[in-house]
Order: sequence, then structure tokens, then C-alpha cells
Amino acid sequence: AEPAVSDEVRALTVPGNTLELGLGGVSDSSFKFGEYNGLEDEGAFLVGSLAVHGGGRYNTDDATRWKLAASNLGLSTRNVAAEYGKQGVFRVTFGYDEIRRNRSDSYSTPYAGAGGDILTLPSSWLVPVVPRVSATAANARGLSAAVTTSSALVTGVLTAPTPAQLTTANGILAADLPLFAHHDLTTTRTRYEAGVSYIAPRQWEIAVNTNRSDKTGAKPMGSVSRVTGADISTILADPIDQTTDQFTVTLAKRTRANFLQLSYYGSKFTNHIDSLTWTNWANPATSMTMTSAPSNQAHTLSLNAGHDFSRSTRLVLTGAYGRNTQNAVFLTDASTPLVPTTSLNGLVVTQTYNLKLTSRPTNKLALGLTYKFDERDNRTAVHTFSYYDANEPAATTAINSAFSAALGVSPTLLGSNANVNSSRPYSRRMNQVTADATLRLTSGHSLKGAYEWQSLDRWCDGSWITCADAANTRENTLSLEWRANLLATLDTRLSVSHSERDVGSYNEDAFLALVPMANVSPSTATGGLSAYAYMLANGLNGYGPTTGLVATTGNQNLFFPLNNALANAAYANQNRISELTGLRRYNMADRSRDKAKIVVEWQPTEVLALHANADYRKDDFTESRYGLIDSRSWTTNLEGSLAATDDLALTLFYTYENQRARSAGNTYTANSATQNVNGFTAIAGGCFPTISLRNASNKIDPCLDWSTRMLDRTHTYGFSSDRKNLLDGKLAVGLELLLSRAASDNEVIGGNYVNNPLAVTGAPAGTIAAYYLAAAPLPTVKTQRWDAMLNARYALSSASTLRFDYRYAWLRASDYAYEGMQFGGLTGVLPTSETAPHYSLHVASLAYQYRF
Amino acid sequence: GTAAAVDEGKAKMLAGRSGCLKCHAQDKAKEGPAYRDVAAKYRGNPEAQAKLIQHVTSGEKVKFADGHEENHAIVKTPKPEDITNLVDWILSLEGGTAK
Amino acid sequence: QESAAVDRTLTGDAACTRCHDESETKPILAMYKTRHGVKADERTPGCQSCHGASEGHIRNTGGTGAKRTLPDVTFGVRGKSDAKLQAGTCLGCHEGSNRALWRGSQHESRDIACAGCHTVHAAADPVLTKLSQPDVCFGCHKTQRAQTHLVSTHPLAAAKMACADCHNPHGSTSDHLMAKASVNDTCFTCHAEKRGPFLWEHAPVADDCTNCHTPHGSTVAPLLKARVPWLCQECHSGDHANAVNSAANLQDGAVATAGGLNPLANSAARAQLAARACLNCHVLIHGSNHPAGAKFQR
Ligand code: HEC
Ligand code: HEC
Ligand code: HEC
Ligand code: HEC
Ligand code: HEC
Ligand code: HEC
Ligand code: HEC
Ligand code: HEC
Ligand code: HEC
Ligand code: HEC
Ligand code: HEC
Repeated sequence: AEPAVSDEVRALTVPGNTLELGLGGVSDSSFKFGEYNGLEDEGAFLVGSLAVHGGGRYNTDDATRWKLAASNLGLSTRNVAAEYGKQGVFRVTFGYDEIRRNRSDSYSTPYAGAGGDILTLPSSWLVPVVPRVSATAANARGLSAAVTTSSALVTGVLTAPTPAQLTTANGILAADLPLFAHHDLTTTRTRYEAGVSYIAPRQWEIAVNTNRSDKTGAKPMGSVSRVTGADISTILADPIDQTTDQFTVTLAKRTRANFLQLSYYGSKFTNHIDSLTWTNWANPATSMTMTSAPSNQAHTLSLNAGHDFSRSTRLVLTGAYGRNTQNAVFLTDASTPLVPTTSLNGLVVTQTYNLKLTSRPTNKLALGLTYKFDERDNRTAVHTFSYYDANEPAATTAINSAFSAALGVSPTLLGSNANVNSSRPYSRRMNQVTADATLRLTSGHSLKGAYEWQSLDRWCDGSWITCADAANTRENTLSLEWRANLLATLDTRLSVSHSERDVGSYNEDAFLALVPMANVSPSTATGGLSAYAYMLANGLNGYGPTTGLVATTGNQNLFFPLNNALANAAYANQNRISELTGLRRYNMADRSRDKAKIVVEWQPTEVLALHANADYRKDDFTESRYGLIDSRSWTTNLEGSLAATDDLALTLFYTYENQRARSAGNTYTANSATQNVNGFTAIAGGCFPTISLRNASNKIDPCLDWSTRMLDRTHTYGFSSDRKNLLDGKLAVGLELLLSRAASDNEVIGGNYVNNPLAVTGAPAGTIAAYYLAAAPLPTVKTQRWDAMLNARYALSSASTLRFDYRYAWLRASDYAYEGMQFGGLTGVLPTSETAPHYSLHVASLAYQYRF
Repeated sequence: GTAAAVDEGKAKMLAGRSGCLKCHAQDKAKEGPAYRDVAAKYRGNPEAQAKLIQHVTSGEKVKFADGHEENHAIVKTPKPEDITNLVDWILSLEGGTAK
Repeated sequence: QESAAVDRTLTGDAACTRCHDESETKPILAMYKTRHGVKADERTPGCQSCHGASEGHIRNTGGTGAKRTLPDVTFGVRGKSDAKLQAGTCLGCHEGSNRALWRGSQHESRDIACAGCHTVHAAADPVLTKLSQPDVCFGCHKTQRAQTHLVSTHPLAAAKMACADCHNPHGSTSDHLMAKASVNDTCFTCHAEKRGPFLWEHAPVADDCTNCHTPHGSTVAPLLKARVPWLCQECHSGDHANAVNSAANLQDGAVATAGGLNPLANSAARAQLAARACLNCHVLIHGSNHPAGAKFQR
């Protein structure tokens, strides 16, 4: 029989059940505010949650327990969890979770079928043009009356549109604008999960977990189509309908000194959408198809084991072997003349091994030694494909015949504008050793030192040439940390670390792995040289000789015409893909990194706690002339909390983050012998006085160097207070305020040459041919948000409570990126009218909570 | 003071925070006597207040039921008026039996 | 740690609960609502399993009236048992599985013990529920708290995700206490569509998601480390980088208006800079499986 216990003891020892029901309301609709919380729509919502428990009582010998909990029942963030078990024997769990991600509530498009995988333009769609500028060239700015009615320069003269042009323009506006319809883009994830765990004889624990998550909806996505001479973009509603199934089985056993765990993890991703087809808005007779992420699977087996050699020395070994495969059928069309296999048959083998030895030889000393091996070995075969960019039709001239012979295809199959590209299955292997020692000097003081060595290899199995810019990088890190309790109430921690990453040799030609024809001699090259062999023989890379215009002949002119970058025709790729000499990709460039951190915690009295810390990080990419040059960041946090009375607690915090980065580039184009612009020669500004001097020096013009300084500052202020025991203990009130301000600046140093639009045939003598215009800093991108939350709980009786929640939320953002999405914005991008988020709204709810 | 002047909430809070309620309850004996029994024991004793203040601030030895002795706990507050209030509250409790 | 003689039953607990009962300001007895309090499961601890036999505390042998002799094991930071002893007590039952790599881990080596995050006496331990878990971590990781309030975040502030979805705070084989063997493997548990392998892999993606993304919050959506086009231009100078991207190339900028000479109908911003910038066209930035997708356009 159950011993008699007081209500107070019962309340403390027997899990209670609660049921909550209420109603709330949101004052205004906002996708951004409701991004993840399910409160995107104006109007009422249901507040509903439940938690019920049952099973044996705490003081009986019945270990059966069950539990059912559900929350946010009225919102698209609902969650349900249930479990049943006999503790110490088995447990079964179920779960359901939903989350909606609001992408855009301002997106509009003329395409029919948004949400599906075929997007078409209604037959009434007229290709937009700005007739005053060109009667035929597709131009998305033609969708703006402000643009089409304004004057344009026609052969150097400002000319107003003719009535005929206005009629055409108005016809386009009248036909197209009504077709733009608004679509809310959102994605929803739903997740079901189930698990069983069982404690088998001899203390083996077996656990099986499985979950399925579905993601459906649509998100905005760019896309590229081609019109004569230009690439245009359409922001499409990308349909999403995907399922991920995950499955885990774990078998574990633990004894006093050892433990062993074996597990299997499987993940199967299924995409129910293969592709997305859309009509070209500049040429509605044609359409393009894009792939969707391919279905794939991954299976991993792992083994973890630990052994205590003594009370102070322990060894842990872990190992995992995984296979990740993908074999979705390739999409093909007229733009893919050469597709050697019908699917990838992709295989990635991952292996991770880890060995960790820890020991505390004395109470004052702790030592650790870790070795880690982590490999992603992409064993997918390399294949060579040929395709045309953006569905461009094949050129009538055939590709170099030596290339088609090497590919074993008929010369007529591939036009000279084809890309012949080999896949690059990237692999990566990390070896890492870490040794650390912690020494306790006196009570409260300790010193920790650590040294880490890391080596990273990157490669592509089966590639004809090393595919990674840095086939190997090595990094050494030394760190020191000092901790001290300076006073009984004051703790400090100070740490510094320095690392150096070295690249054995940075290969600027690694990109050639993409273009196997660089290893085939175009029949036109003398001596049977391939582009690659020529480069090796002459100490060049894809960027070519770093010199100005020099008339070149023979192989030099074939591979590097006029000392420009590797010629497209010499390696069968439509575009220049080499990068600037001196550009290092930051993830594998030489780097010197310093970090420092200081933390101070002070508790002057029992009720007051103060915290301050600062973090500093600096990365210098020591060998990089272009690309990311350096970055630094520092962060500081200040916080104070006061337990003013037993019933009143206050917290105040502030966080400041400052991040800056510098990167550099160069806007070189091809050296050329062009002497003038419509007969005019003078340049205003820049490094060269005349068009001919500039064009001869394109690759070495210092005025084409640019650099940018990015600066991001964020301030976050928070305040919260909790007041309990108001109105004779019946009322508790909490208040929270949050202010977050972020500003990003982007300063650009450098400039551009632009041709003078007035330098047209017939312009007065001495007209400037081109200007060098300085770059200008980008408008500051800002976001500010305020959140004020108030909650009050009023106890109606010992079993029931009334809960009131109120929130005021405010956000303003400015971001120039949205300017390009408006009507009249970009020439080649169809406008979507998306706008930067902003809201100012109230949410209130009242709920009745019943405990039983 | 008189019973009317006692701030009961404050007294209980102090007793809780000082750990007194681990050994004492208002109406039942735990390791230490029930407070109402203490009140009964001192009823009418003019020295009661002073004696108990001394008891809860000095850490003097007390004898437990099982016979062991230890230093008695001390009230955790620097404010004499709060201690007086606590003691007054204890003494104000009704219904105990003096042993 | 635990002496064999400890009586883990309710009767055994009475050695403590006769003093520490419902009158406690903190709900000591609420432990009986938790899994530790399921006495019918013989694996669960009694008071003395965790706090030690504590003879001295029960009889207050050395204590002055002002401060009682402490139990053998007390949990918390200041003036409590050594962190190693605290953690050792819990590890007596919980070593292995998720805590296999506790020793030498980032938290352990800073003397953060289990009770630094776990509240075991409360009916519900805040660190075990998504709603309250981040607040526990923010007690120390305040920068991450600020980041979850930036414009682009994971649904952390909305409590649909918690820190432990990505981190194993008890120790891990990978840097930054990632829950899986690497950052990418961790991301793939929710973003399996990025796993591939794709026909055309984008090298930095196969390498590490954090080459471009920052996980807790960013001023650049979606969770990017830098704004596009500069994010891309930190690695790509070739092809269409042949104009500087600056405000001079925006619609009203000096370059777009050719120094003020181009009227409205002629001037337009660069597609590489405005709207989605590089992502106007290179959309399958995580890799493409289209035979014509080498440039991540299809
Ligand atoms: C560890 C156990 C314990 C704690 C904690 C404790 N007491 Fe006691 N208390 C006792 C015992 C045992 C006695 C009985 C002493 C005796 O009869 O000799 C006692 C006696 C008393 C008495 C009566 C003294 C007398 O002269 O009869 C009062 C009043 C008292 N306690 C108040 C308090 C207050 C206030 C606190 C908190 C500061 C407190 N106690 C904390 C064990 C405790
Ligand atoms: C005789 C009464 C009594 C018994 C029996 C008792 N305690 Fe206590 N305990 C106290 C008192 C009084 C305090 C407050 C001490 C102080 O604040 O100086 C306390 C404090 C504690 C604390 C907090 C210590 C700190 O400051 O961090 C813990 C933990 C604790 N007890 C655990 C136990 C456990 C476990 C048992 C059984 C093994 C036990 N107690 C048995 C009276 C008791
Ligand atoms: C004598 C054994 C023992 C000791 C000592 C012990 N635990 Fe446990 N713990 C258990 C058992 C048994 C469970 C229930 C396991 C189950 O059935 O899921 C558990 C469960 C837990 C859980 C999961 C609770 C939940 O709701 O899922 C946490 C967290 C935990 N323990 C933390 C701790 C911490 C922190 C300590 C030390 C302060 C500790 N444990 C000491 C035996 C112990
Ligand atoms: C830095 C915070 C932190 C520290 C320190 C910490 N834990 Fe945890 N612990 C967590 C979080 C978060 C979870 C929830 C994990 C999850 O949901 O996957 C958890 C879960 C658990 C669980 C239950 C689920 C599981 O993973 O098996 C146990 C048992 C547990 N911890 C024991 C311990 C022990 C023992 C220690 C000390 C050695 C410890 N914890 C230290 C944060 C911490
Ligand atoms: C699973 C391990 C574990 C068990 C079993 C356990 N405790 Fe604790 N105890 C802790 C930890 C950890 C703390 C630190 C506060 C917290 O996390 O709740 C603590 C804190 C305390 C405190 C101090 C609370 C305060 O005011 O700060 C007391 C008193 C206490 N325990 C008593 C007990 C009693 C009585 C029992 C038996 C019913 C018990 N403990 C069982 C781990 C345990
Ligand atoms: C009591 C303080 C404290 C709490 C609470 C805490 N941490 Fe930590 N954490 C630290 C300290 C100290 C470090 C050491 C690294 C540093 O210098 O900040 C650390 C390190 C980490 C790191 C590794 C950083 C790196 O790059 O190696 C991660 C990840 C982390 N904590 C996550 C968490 C999570 C998740 C939680 C909550 C479940 C949590 N922490 C709770 C103090 C804490
Ligand atoms: C989406 C996955 C994800 C979630 C959720 C997540 N983290 Fe992280 N965290 C990471 C990754 C990846 C890193 C390493 C990259 C980095 O340094 O930014 C990291 C790094 C950290 C670090 C080390 C930062 C440094 O600079 O040393 C801390 C501390 C940390 N996380 C704490 C947290 C806390 C607290 C939460 C919960 C609010 C959390 N994390 C949630 C993925 C995540
Ligand atoms: C536990 C699940 C989980 C893990 C692990 C996870 N994510 Fe996410 N991630 C989400 C959810 C949920 C969203 C919200 C959008 C959605 O539903 O897809 C999201 C969104 C994102 C977004 C888009 C944000 C936006 O504004 O739309 C990015 C980028 C992202 N995650 C990157 C990562 C990276 C990088 C990692 C690993 C460091 C990671 N995620 C790990 C669940 C996860
Ligand atoms: C080369 C830089 C880069 C790398 C590396 C990268 N991403 Fe991204 N990611 C982006 C960009 C840029 C976007 C925005 C795409 C857009 O808006 O169309 C993005 C968007 C996302 C999104 C949100 C959009 C969506 O598809 O739901 C998720 C989730 C995401 N990335 C996850 C990952 C994961 C997981 C990894 C590592 C496997 C990763 N990313 C690696 C650049 C990168
Ligand atoms: C951390 C470095 C890094 C970042 C950041 C990066 N990339 Fe790449 N990208 C590479 C590497 C390495 C390659 C493969 C080598 C090569 O082709 O030069 C590549 C290849 C490409 C290609 C294929 C080029 C070809 O030769 O077929 C395109 C297109 C591309 N990236 C676009 C982008 C865009 C757009 C972004 C920004 C969203 C971006 N990249 C960000 C490193 C990066
Ligand atoms: C308007 C569409 C569009 C935009 C915007 C765009 N690209 Fe491209 N990009 C293309 C097309 C189409 C190609 C294929 C070659 C060509 O025809 O120009 C390409 C090719 C590339 C290549 C590979 C060159 C090669 O030889 O294969 C890289 C690298 C690249 N782009 C990077 C970028 C970067 C970085 C940005 C942003 C600054 C960007 N792109 C913006 C359409 C675009």
C-alpha cells in the first residue's frame, strides 16, 4: 500500500498532467516575422498544448511509465511526442514535428504553374524590349513604364521615344504586367520518428531509431537562359518535394572498465522532383530544363570502444566506415551532345578513425593525445561530357578535329562553342594529431598548452591532372590558456593561439582537370604540343604570360594569342576558366591565424553576477595577392544579472560583433590592338592616356586592380526581468526586451573604364573616348529589430492558471540587392518585386492552463 | 513585539533560506522540535525572545534525538530586525504542546 | 565512487529526505518525477549514490553552526566538489555512449562538470528540451545568443532546433564538438539533398560547408559568411569579373550612367551585382547532376 503523503509531497513526486487551451491573435501578416514560428498570418490562432503522464508510482516496484506531450497544436510548428516503457527494460517512443519556413511573401511571376515542375508563360506574353534602345533585344526593363517612356541615347543624341515606340512599349506593358501574379513561397518540413530501446541480458543495450522527414513547398531560385548574345536570368519558384529517411541501430555494452558500441546509420534521400522546366521569357518558343538534387543514400557502420587502463588512464577508439551512393538518371537534351553514361553510379567512401588517450598521472597534471583520420574518398569514375552553355545551339563550325578524334566522336557532333569537361570527383583526407597538457598550479590556477598538427590531402581519383589547387596543406597550431580564480568571487580565463598553414605548392593549373582537351594537341599546334605541355615547357599557367600586348606567332599565338589567357579553342572550353595569377582560394591558401580570448566572471555578492569577455581572431592569407587577403573579427559580451529579491530577477546583456575582411581582384580583359572608340582615342582618368595604350596593357594595367573592405557590425541588447509572487503569490510576470542592430558596409577601391556614350561617329573632335570611373562604396545594408515580450501567469486555483502573452515585434531592413528585383531594375533579370522585409506587429494570447 | 506585528511571509522565507525547515516544521517534529512546540514551551517566558535570538545566532551545541550533539544552525541574514521577526513568528504559533 | 552499501531505495533516501523534504526552497523531491527517481529501476541512484555516504554531513561532525559539514559530493561551481569528482560521480553510470569522449573534451578540460548544464533535481531538466536548451548554453556562449537574432538564422530562437542537433557537448571526434564525424556529415542529417555525390561537385562544398556558411546566424541570407558576389569573388576572378562590383555599377551609379551621360533608359545595374548577383545564374551552387551543369547553372 502506498504510504500516506501530504499534497505537497505528492505535487513534488508525482508527475502532473497539464492541458492548455486558449486563443491568440496576430495584428499583421508578415512572412519574415513568422519565418519559423508559424505566426505569419494576421488573425486568430489556437493555443493548445498537452502533457500527460502515467504508469507506476514512484514508490512502487512498477517501472512502467508513459508520457504524451503535444505543443503548438494550433500552429504550423506543432509537435507531438509520446513514449511508453518499462524503465530498465525497454522504451518505445514516437514523435511528430512540423516546421514551416516562410521564404517570400512578396514574390511575383508571370509564369503559370508556380509550385509545379513545369513553368510556362501564357500565350499572351510579349517579349519585353525597350524600343527606344533596341527594337529587338529582349530587355526586362521594358516592363517599366518609367524606363520605356524616358529618352535614350541614340548614336550619341538624347532622343525621346517615338509614338510608334511608345505604342509598342505600352502594348508590352498592357500584355505583360497583368500576368504577374503574386505567390507565397514557403517550405514545410514534417517529421515522424519512432524508436525502441531494449536492455537485453548481460547489460547489452539495443536501440533502434527511425525517422522520416518530408520537405515540400517552393523557394525562389535563379536560372539562366540564353538569347542571342546574352545570358538572362529568371527567378523561378523552385518546387520542393523531398523525403529523407534515417535509420539507426545501436548495440552497446558497458562494464566497469570497458565499453563497446556498434552502430549502423542509414540515410536515404528521395527527391520526388527530377527537374524543372521553364519557358524562356526572351524567346517563349524555347524552354530549358534544370535538374533537381539527385536522390542518394548513405550507410555508415561504426564501432566505438573505450578501455580504462587504470583509474587515471583511458583509451577510446572510434572507427566509422560509410558508403554514399547516387545513381539518378541524367537529363539530356540538345545542349548535351556527348553524355557517355546514363547515370553517375557515384560512390563516396568515408572513413573516420580516432584514437584518444587521456591520463592524469597526478592530481595536478592532465595529459591528452589524440589522433584522427578522416577521409572522404570519392570513387566515382571520371567521365567526359560535352555541352553548350545555357542551351545555346551548336555553332556551325565543328570543334577542333583532333579533339573530336580524341573523344571518339564524329567531328560534326560538336560545334566549336562546345565545352568538353571532365568531372572532378573531389576527395579529401585529414590526418591530425593533438597533444595537450593541463597543469594545476595552485588551487584555482591552471595552465593548459596544446599543440596540433594537421595535414590535409585533396585529390580526384582518375583525373588526368591534380584537381586541387593545393594537393596538400599542413597546419601547426599552438595554444595556451591560463585560468585563475583571482579572488573567491572572480574567475578569469585568458587564451591565445597561433596557427600557420602551409601549402607545399599551390597549383594554379589545377582547373585544367576540368578540361581534358588541354592534354590533347590541337592538330594546329606545331610539334604535337598540347596546351598543357606548352605551358609546362614555357613555365606558364592558364592566365598566360603576365605581360602586355605583344604580337605572337606560332604555338604562343595558338595557345596564348597576344599574350592573353589560354585560348578557348586550344582546350575546348567556351570560356576562360583560369584565375588571376596570385589568386589563392582561402580554404587552402597559406594562412597565419591568431586568436585571443579573455573571460572575466565576477560575483561581487551572492545576488549579483557580472560577466565580460572579448574574442579576437585574425587570419592573414600570407601568399594571396588576389582573393581573400585577410579577415579579422572581434566580439565582446557584457552581462549582468541581479537576483534583486527572492522574487525579482533582472538580467541585462550586450553583445558587439565586428568582422572585417579584405579581398582583391583585377578586372583584366584581353590585351588587344584596338586603337580607338568610334575614332576617338583619349581616356580621362585611369593609368593610360589613350585607348591603344590601355588596350595593349589590359593584363598589366594597375588601374584594373580592385580591392574591397567588408565591415559587419552587429549590436545586440537584451533585458529581462522576472517578478514572482505578486498579488499574494498568485501572479508572476516576465518581461523581455531585445534589440538587434546590424550594419554591413562594403567599401570598394579601384575603378572601371567605361566608353563615353557620346563618343559616336560624328561627335566633335577631341571627344573623350572613355572614362575611368572610380568605384563607390555600396549603400550600407542595415537591419534593426525590436522585440518586447511580456508574459503573465495568474493562478486561479491550485489547479488552474491563466496565461497571458504579449509581444511587440518591429523590424526594418534595407538592402540594395532588392533594387535589382524591381520593375525597371536589371536588363537581363525578370523582376519579382521582392522587397526587403519589414514589420511592426503585435501578438497577444490568453490561455487557460489546467493541471490534474 | 505583538503577534500582529509579525510578518509571517518574511519569517518563513528567512527560515527557508537559512535551511531551518530542513530540521523544523511548524507543526511536526523533524530533527528539531516543531516550532509550535517551541512556542508552547516558551509561552509566558519574558526571556523567550532574547533566548531564542541567542539560540539561532550563536551556533551553540544542541542535542539530537539520537543523542549526538552538533552546533546549531545560524540564521542567514545580517539584519537584526529580520531575526527578531523570525523569532517572534515562531513564538506566535499556536497549538503546540510544551514538553 | 559509490560505496556498495548505499541503499538506493526510498528507505535509503530517508537518511537524507528526513531533512531535505518538501520544505526545501529548491524542489529536491522533484527528482522522484524524473528517470533518476524511478525506484523500481534498480539502476537508478539513491541520494547517497550521487552525494556520497556523507556521514559527516548527517551528523555535522566538523561543522560550526554557521556552515554545516558538507556532504561528500556537492555539485556546482564555487565552493563545491572538484569538477572531476562531480563528473566522475555521474560517469559512474553514464560513461560510454554519448559521453565516451568526455575526458579531454573542451568542456571537461575547462572544469565544466555535468551540473554545469544539467539540473537533475527539477522535474524537467531544461537542457533536455529544445525550448530551454539554448538558454543553458547561452549562460556561457553569449556570442551565439546574439547570432541567433540576426536576420538569417537556423530556427534556434524559434525553438524548433537546439544546439545539440549539431553539437555533442559531451565530447566528439570532430572539431567544434560536432555531433557527427565532420561538419558536413552533421549538416547532411537535415540537408541530405546537398550530399550528392554530384556529377559536378563544387570543390568547397565537398570540402566543408563552413567555407561559405556560418551556422548560428548571419547578416547575409542564407547564413552566408560574406555577401554574394564577393563571397564568390574571394575564390573566382575569371570570366565575368571584368568590371568592378561597386555602387558605381548599381542602377544610378557612375559606371551604369557612364559618369552621368547615360539616361534612365540606357543605364542598368550589373546582373553580377544586383538582385541575387552570381546566384541569378549559378544556382546549383552545391553541385549539379546535369550533364550540362559543370558551371552550376542546371
Ligand atoms: C540540523 C538540524 C537543525 C537545523 C538546520 C536547525 N535547527 Fe533549530 N533545532 C534543532 C534541534 C535538534 C533543536 C532542539 C535543541 C534542543 O532541544 O536542545 C533545535 C531547536 C531550535 C529552537 C528552540 C531552541 C530552544 O531553546 O528550545 C529554535 C527556535 C530553533 N531551533 C530555530 C532554528 C532556526 C531559526 C534555524 C535556521 C537558522 C534552525 N533552527 C535550524 C536542529 C536544527
Ligand atoms: C540532520 C539534517 C540533515 C540530514 C540528515 C542531511 N542533511 Fe543535507 N543539509 C542539511 C542542512 C541544514 C543543510 C544546509 C547547510 C548549510 O547551508 O550550511 C544541508 C545541505 C545539503 C546540501 C547542500 C550543500 C551545499 O552547500 O552545497 C546537500 C547537497 C545536502 N545537504 C545533501 C544531503 C544528502 C545527500 C544527505 C543524505 C546523505 C543529507 N543532505 C542529509 C541538513 C541535513
Ligand atoms: C547510480 C547510477 C546513476 C548515477 C550516479 C547518475 N545517473 Fe543519470 N541516469 C541513471 C539512470 C538509470 C537513468 C535512466 C536511463 C534511462 O532509462 O533512460 C539516468 C538518466 C539520466 C539522464 C536522462 C534523463 C532523461 O530525462 O532523459 C540524465 C540527463 C542524467 N541521467 C544525468 C546525470 C547526471 C548529471 C548525474 C550526476 C550528477 C547522473 N546522471 C548520475 C543512473 C545514474
Ligand atoms: C555543456 C553542456 C553539458 C554538459 C557539461 C554535460 N551535458 Fe549531458 N547533456 C547536455 C545536452 C544538451 C543533452 C541533450 C542531448 C540531446 O538532446 O541529444 C545532454 C544529455 C545527457 C544525457 C541524456 C541523453 C544522452 O545523451 O544519453 C545524459 C545521461 C547526460 N547528458 C549526462 C551527462 C553527464 C554524465 C555529464 C558529465 C560528464 C554531462 N551530461 C555533461 C549538455 C551537457
Ligand atoms: C543523479 C545524481 C543525484 C542524486 C541521485 C541526488 N542528487 Fe542532490 N544534487 C545533485 C546535483 C547535480 C545537484 C546540483 C543542483 C542540481 O543540479 O539540481 C544536487 C543538489 C542537491 C542539493 C542542493 C540544492 C540547492 O539548494 O542548491 C540538495 C539539498 C540535494 N541535492 C539533496 C539530495 C537528496 C536529498 C537526494 C535524494 C532524494 C539527492 N540529492 C539525490 C545530484 C544528485
Ligand atoms: C558553464 C559554462 C558553459 C556552458 C553552460 C556551456 N559551455 Fe560550451 N564551452 C564552455 C567553455 C569554457 C568552452 C571552451 C571554449 C572556449 O574557450 O569558449 C566551451 C566550448 C564549447 C564548444 C567548442 C568550441 C570549439 O570551437 O572547440 C562548443 C561547440 C560548445 N561549447 C557548445 C556548447 C553547448 C551546445 C552548450 C549547451 C548544451 C554549452 N556549450 C554549454 C563553457 C560552457
Ligand atoms: C546548424 C548546426 C549548428 C547548430 C544548431 C548550432 N551550432 Fe554551434 N557550431 C556549428 C558549427 C558548424 C560550428 C563550427 C563553425 C564555426 O566556427 O562557426 C559551430 C561552432 C560553435 C562554437 C564555437 C565557435 C568558435 O568560434 O569557437 C560554439 C561555442 C557553438 N557552436 C555553440 C553553439 C550553441 C550555444 C548553439 C545553440 C544556440 C549552437 N552552437 C547551435 C553548428 C551548429
Ligand atoms: C537538426 C537539423 C539541421 C541541421 C543538423 C542543420 N540544419 Fe540547416 N536548416 C535546418 C532547418 C529546419 C532549416 C530551416 C529551413 C528549412 O526548413 O529547410 C535550415 C536552414 C538552413 C539554411 C538556410 C537558411 C535560410 O535562411 O533559409 C542554411 C544555409 C543551412 N540550414 C545550412 C546548414 C549547415 C551549413 C549546417 C551544418 C553546419 C546545417 N544547416 C545543419 C535544419 C538543420
Ligand atoms: C561555395 C559556397 C558554399 C558552400 C561551400 C556551401 N554553400 Fe550552401 N549556399 C551557398 C549559397 C550562395 C546559397 C544561396 C543559394 C541561393 O540563394 O540560391 C546557399 C544556400 C544553402 C541552403 C539554403 C537553400 C536551400 O537549398 O535550402 C542550404 C540548406 C545550404 N546552403 C546548405 C549547405 C550545406 C549543407 C553545405 C555543405 C555540404 C553548403 N551549403 C555548402 C553557398 C555555399
Ligand atoms: C572557397 C573557395 C570557393 C568559393 C567561395 C566559391 N568557389 Fe566556385 N569554385 C571553387 C573551386 C576550387 C572550383 C573548381 C576549380 C576551378 O574550376 O577553378 C570552383 C568552380 C566553380 C565554377 C565552375 C567553374 C568551371 O570551371 O566550371 C563556378 C561556375 C563557380 N565555382 C561559381 C561560384 C559561385 C557563383 C560562388 C559563390 C556563390 C563560388 N563559386 C564560390 C572554389 C570556390
Ligand atoms: C547573367 C547570368 C550570370 C551571372 C549573373 C553570373 N554568371 Fe557566371 N556564368 C554565366 C554563364 C552563362 C557562364 C558560362 C560561360 C558564359 O557563357 O559566359 C558562366 C560562367 C562562369 C564561370 C566559369 C567560367 C568558365 O569558363 O566556365 C565562373 C567561375 C563564373 N561564371 C563565376 C561567376 C561569378 C563569380 C559571378 C558573380 C560575380 C557570376 N558568375 C555571375 C552566367 C552568369
